[in-house]
Amino acid sequence: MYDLIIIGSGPAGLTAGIFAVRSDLETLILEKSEISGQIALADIVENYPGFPSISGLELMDKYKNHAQEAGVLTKITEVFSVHSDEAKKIVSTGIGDLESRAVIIATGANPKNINVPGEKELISRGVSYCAICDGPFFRNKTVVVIGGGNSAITEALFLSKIARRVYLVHKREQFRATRILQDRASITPNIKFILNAFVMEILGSGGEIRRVVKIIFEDLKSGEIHELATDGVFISVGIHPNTEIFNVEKNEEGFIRTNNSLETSDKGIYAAGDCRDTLIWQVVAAVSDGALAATAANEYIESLKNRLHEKSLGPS
Amino acid sequence: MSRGAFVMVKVTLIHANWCNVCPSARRFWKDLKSEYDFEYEEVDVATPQGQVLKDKFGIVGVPTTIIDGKIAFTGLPKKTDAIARII
Repeated sequence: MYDLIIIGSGPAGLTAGIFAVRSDLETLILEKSEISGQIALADIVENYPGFPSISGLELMDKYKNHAQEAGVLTKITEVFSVHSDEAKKIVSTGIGDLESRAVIIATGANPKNINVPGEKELISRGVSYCAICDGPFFRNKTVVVIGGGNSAITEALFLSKIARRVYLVHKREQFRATRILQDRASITPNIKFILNAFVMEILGSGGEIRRVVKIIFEDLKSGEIHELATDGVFISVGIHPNTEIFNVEKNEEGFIRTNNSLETSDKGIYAAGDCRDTLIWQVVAAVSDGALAATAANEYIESLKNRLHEKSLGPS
Repeated sequence: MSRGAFVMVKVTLIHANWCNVCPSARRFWKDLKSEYDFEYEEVDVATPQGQVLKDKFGIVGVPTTIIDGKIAFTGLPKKTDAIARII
């Protein structure tokens, strides 16, 4: 039996792993994908203390190397469920059922869809959720970025270096991104803001190889419907937590609810990083969560071991 | 159409050096190649061959996996989905 199983090897999971191993816990990280951590897809990270500017991939590589050097063990497999059985947790995985005294859920989140006609059909045909992955295909072309937060503006700024024209389309009157990013985007000559715009459909060309050709959006102030010709649509409207399989308390959007020690509604199961209900979803917060969850889990495991030890000694 | 006994599945991974996901995709398919029998090649989209494939299939995203002449995946597939396409 492991002391601690951590599900997810992004910044939160790896940090939890490092702290757990340093506390001498028998620890295993489970990861279902070769790509761990949304941050690996970020072009530039500028708000991680100690690094004024670093690529997301580089930062993720640093976490992985540190965890490896610390002796953190990771296995690639899918997790199907976690349930409690007296003083242990049973984690059902693609490599069988694993037992652990405690579990940290650090499964992160994925980009949200906007759920409009054409979105799914035109993925990899001009619809993308990753500017750094697909942006170069739109050199000297026109692209639309849908969203109003930091990620959307960051993607637009990245794309402005490649595309001829970037339309930043947001359904509200104002962006919710930080001021510094908004200011940077507003002075970028080839970025144009389209606010109060609700994207209704993404249209593709006909023929055997379909490509994005335009979006249809409604001006929420006037009610008018507009068409905007574009070669690509980058969707950046927030994240959806990867928490469907976990039977713990969540908010209405699926983010896991935790107490101050990051413990969930199931004692001995903790949540860290983008999968939980928190104030900010940033890599610095995920790292902090990982450390806190591992520390709390360690205290829980210690008290569990002490109770079992006292029980084995019998009545005095 | 059923697959003949001697016809191996052909997997072509289109990748790019600017793509953060691509190294993982390359590792993924190479690992799978060590477990299963199939023909495998990697094509950098920036090469002449890559450009031909990009135009032929209308590729605007990497990594893109082509299996037996059709786009099978964009991004990194689930292992179970990938195995289902190659056996």
